[in-house]
Amino acid sequence: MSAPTTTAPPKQPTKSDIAILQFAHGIELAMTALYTKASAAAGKDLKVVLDLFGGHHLAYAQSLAGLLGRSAATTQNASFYTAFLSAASSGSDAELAGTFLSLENSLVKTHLGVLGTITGTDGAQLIASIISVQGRHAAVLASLAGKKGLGDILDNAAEPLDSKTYPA
Amino acid sequence: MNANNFEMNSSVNRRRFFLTGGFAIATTTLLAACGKGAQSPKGEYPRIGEVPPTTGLPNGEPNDEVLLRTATSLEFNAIDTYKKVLALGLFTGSSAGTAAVVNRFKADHEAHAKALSGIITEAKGETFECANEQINKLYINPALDLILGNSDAGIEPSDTPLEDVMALALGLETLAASTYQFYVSMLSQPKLRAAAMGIGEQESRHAAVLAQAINPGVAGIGPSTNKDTGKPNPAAVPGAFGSLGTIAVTVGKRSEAGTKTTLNMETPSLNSMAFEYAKCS
Repeated sequence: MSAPTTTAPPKQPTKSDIAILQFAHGIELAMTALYTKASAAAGKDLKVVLDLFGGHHLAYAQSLAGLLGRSAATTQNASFYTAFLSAASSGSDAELAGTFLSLENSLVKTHLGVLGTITGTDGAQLIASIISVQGRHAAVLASLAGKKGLGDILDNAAEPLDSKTYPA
Repeated sequence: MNANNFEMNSSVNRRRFFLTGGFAIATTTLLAACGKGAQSPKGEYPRIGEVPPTTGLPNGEPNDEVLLRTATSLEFNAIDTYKKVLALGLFTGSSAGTAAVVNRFKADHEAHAKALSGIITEAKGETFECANEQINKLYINPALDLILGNSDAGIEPSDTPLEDVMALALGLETLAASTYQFYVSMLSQPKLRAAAMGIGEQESRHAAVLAQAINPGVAGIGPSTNKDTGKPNPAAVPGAFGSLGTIAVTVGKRSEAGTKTTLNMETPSLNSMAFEYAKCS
């Protein structure tokens, strides 16, 4: 392996970390709002799940806001929210679950990209703890979407979200 | 004469006695510590009996290579355990479908181990392609003894081996996911953190699938508590954030009180890492 570095990585987000984490924060705020919309359109059982997962995304947004302090995004990512509002607020329960399955998979890939870029360890630890659970969200939503194959539940071929497609 | 039988005006009064005695003790101690008397010919502390010589372990730093080697070793723990479980022939009848899941998980762990070894090799490190002995010793072997029985240790086999095998698998997958999450804070390079969590996220999905198999339906998705035992039920999504806490695995033959043995697993720390001096035996 390469020679170990003698300089410990920073704990707090660096300037370049902040811009990346702001994007993630805006996306998490939008996900919270999309889950709220979906919950209103879902059947009884799915509503329980969507409310639970929506609450998790709110917790992610709040944690990122705490990490970023005054640099936190002040509003949700409007372009992302608008792009998925229709799909997230209509359709059968299986279709709704399928929509959020693809969104959760995209968020996992997005956060993996964030993790591979930021240097501050506080942000890295938070993002890692989020990725771990969003993978679980996806596995559950795959079953609720009627996916039977193990590959549909375990594999993630989604593309990460980027700030060019979804500017804040 | 006073109560202490010392004359206050005597040349050997109480105060002088303590001063003189204290000085004598201090002097004797100092001379004994500095001396190389016949009782300690090599300048060592005298001792009774034979003490076997000990060799300390080399120093090890939990650097990126060590963390990735340790993660690889955990993958081999999972691979070996799944191989053993498949060989038990438990997945028959209504459980036949579970064999496909276990085979898929085993294949995933093999792919993870290969990917980690690739990263280590690319960085000119030395791979570690075998199970973590400490994890086997502390968690997996005791769990398998409780499930399969161990006559030498007086352990009877479990009366619900399939249920216990699933609980052990859930524990191992959760342990693997937690380990990758924990190591993110220790890995120095962002690209290694992302590679680690790319694998850790898949372990989380494994855990969610197993939790749903054990505790199916909507009721098994979020956290809940067993009304009889007061312990948490297996949950596909037990919390908003990935936990780094102790992982409880309950297995074995039920006692007369109806309880099983609970083993507590923790992510590999300094005493369980595959340091650079460690070799696969």
